[in-house]
Amino acid sequence: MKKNQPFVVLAIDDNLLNLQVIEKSLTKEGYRILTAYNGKKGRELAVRKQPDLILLDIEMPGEDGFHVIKLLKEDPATAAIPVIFLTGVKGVKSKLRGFELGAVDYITKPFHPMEVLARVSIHLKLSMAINSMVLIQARKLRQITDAQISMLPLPKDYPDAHFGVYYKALEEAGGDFYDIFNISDEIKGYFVADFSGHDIKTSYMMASLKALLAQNCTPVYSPMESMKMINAVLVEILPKIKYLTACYARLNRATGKLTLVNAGHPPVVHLPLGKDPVLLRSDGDILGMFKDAQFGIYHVNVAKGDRFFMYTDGLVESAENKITWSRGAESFVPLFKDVCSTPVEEAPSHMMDELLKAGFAPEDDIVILCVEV
Amino acid sequence: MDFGSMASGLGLGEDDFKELADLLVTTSLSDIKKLEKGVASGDQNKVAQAAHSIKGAAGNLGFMDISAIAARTEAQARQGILNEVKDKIQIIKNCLDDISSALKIS
Repeated sequence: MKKNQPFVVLAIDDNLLNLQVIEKSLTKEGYRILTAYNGKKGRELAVRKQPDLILLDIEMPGEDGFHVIKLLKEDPATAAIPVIFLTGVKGVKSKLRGFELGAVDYITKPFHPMEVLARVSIHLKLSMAINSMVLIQARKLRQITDAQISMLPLPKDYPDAHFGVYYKALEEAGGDFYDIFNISDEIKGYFVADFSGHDIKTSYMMASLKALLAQNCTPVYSPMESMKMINAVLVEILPKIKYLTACYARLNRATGKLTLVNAGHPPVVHLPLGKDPVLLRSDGDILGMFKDAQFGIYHVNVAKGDRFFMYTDGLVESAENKITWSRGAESFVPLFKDVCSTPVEEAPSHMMDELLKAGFAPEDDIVILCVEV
Repeated sequence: MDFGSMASGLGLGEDDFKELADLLVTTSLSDIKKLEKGVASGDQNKVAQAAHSIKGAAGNLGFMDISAIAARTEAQARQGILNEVKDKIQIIKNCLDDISSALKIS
């Protein structure tokens, strides 16, 4: 499976501390940072490394920021790279001059790292939208082909994602789906979904969903933004009677933050190390049916050794016993603790073995995904 | 000095913040040498540039007292007023000492 490339940001500033602040705050959110302490070195790096965005100080000895951006925009190799000025100068004339020279934004010093992060994200999104229509189309076609070759990843495909999975389709054309993807070195995405109906069309829709995840789950989009964009496309391409429930988990192991976006799916179970499991409930609309769908979101701090479980309703529902997942999930919670000592790769299978021994009779496809932080 | 709160306000981890605070002390002391040389030679541009550098770096980490003094120094230097710089240098040095001491304790 091809690993997603992180976005590269080049920071040019003669103050080493400013460069360090930028590097630390952006790196932990999944960006790769290049730094240069003067304009000449910055331009050389920009040509050689082709960053996705440049943060440029104005007041530098030698080549100041205005001179640097003029040369960047004159060079075809760097002309299209968006430039954001970082400056302590507050005058309007200075800002207008910067915009005339081709800057896309200004951040005044002292800057707040989170403001830098927000503006970098916005301008990368704009840059992608403006520059990459053809690139996106080509990528779509390549990824759909890749997706059809290997749909459901295994732990050996993503050793850094630290997960185990159990997947069983009740019939030949299963409706359950899961995917694991690298958003950056420290940020991983985990997605579990349940398509309505089991037919041949479902497998084609799964390939499309896999491609949509690869395109839209990137460091510049928040998990909610990713889910809304995926929903917008699915509403257009799914047949009217088709929909899916889904849960998207984005885990940042650098910051210890887990974000869950829920689209009508059974709640995630969080098993903090050494503690009891907890259901993380957040209601949301289903995916692929409504243009203005609202999804549930849950933020939780996690620590090394914690686990969380994502699964489909086949595990906790029973039409025969008239149990829906909203009630069934609660009764299954203690089972997740029973596998807390089992290696993560084996935990889901072990859980199913115990359930089957106890007389559990699956009535639907089942996915159990266990992730260890 | 509550490094934890300062770090959290910037969205950084406390260890990262302390590393940056230590770097601030180092870079600011280097900028102070430039300030002193600028005052000695009557070079207002040199003084303004060095003060500008301290202003931005300190402000980025939330040390607004240092940033404010450096901002005032920069503004005066740009107007050619250099006779108050020595006093301001001493205040900044004192603030940097406080940061260094707090880092040693934490």
